[in-house]
Amino acid sequence: MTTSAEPIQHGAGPSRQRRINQLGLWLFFASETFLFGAFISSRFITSQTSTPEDLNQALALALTIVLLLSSISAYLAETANAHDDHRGFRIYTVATITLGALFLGGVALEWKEALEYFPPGTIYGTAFFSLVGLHAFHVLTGLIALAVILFLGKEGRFGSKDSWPVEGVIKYWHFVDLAWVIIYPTLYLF
Amino acid sequence: MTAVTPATGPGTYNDRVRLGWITAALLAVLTLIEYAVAINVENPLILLLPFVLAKGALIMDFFMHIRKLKTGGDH
Repeated sequence: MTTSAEPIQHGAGPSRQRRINQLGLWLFFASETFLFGAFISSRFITSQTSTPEDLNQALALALTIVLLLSSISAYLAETANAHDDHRGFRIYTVATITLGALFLGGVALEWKEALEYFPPGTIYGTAFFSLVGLHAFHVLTGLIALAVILFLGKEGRFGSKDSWPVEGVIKYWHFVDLAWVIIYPTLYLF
Repeated sequence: MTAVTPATGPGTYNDRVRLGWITAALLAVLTLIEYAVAINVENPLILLLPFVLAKGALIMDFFMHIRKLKTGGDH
């Protein structure tokens, strides 16, 4: 028997629905963490902590800074949207997409160099190309998701009243950044 | 009951923007220190782990708002 004075609600209200959405997204992140974890651990199992001297450290550091900048622009886009600053949302989302595309361009350049020095057939090359490739694929899907919310949000569809779509996509983008925070030292610095 | 708005919470719009920039600056500084340690120390795995963990924690807390999972609100 319940002693609560609150009426029993069937279905999910907006607040409850948001919490369910958040939990679902974080469960997705957990499953993704296992995937990245498997690839990262395979790098250490196959080649321990040895790294080739031909790695382009300057380019990798530049890519890290670019992705970091994209994370702050994504945060600003989310904040602008939550405060009904639609113009700010559009500007910062475009900035995030641009920086993400720049990151992918840098990865392509990096792969071009890497193919000469440690092709995928080598032990380190296998770890390098699979891990960077897996991450680049996530960046690409993140860019597509960002383009979708930019397109849908250009009429001011989102905002403080309906911010979950933007929040979900931006959280995914931060997860991609988080993955790189671990992949970068794993492949280049250890 | 009003829905919880992400990326708002305590403070004004400008406060949240400032917090984001401070977080990004911290991440940049940690990355540069991490890089400097890696190129100057042989086998830097143990030394770099705290930097990786600190950067991960900053992103999950300030950018991904992981604490909202527990509180249901912003922080």
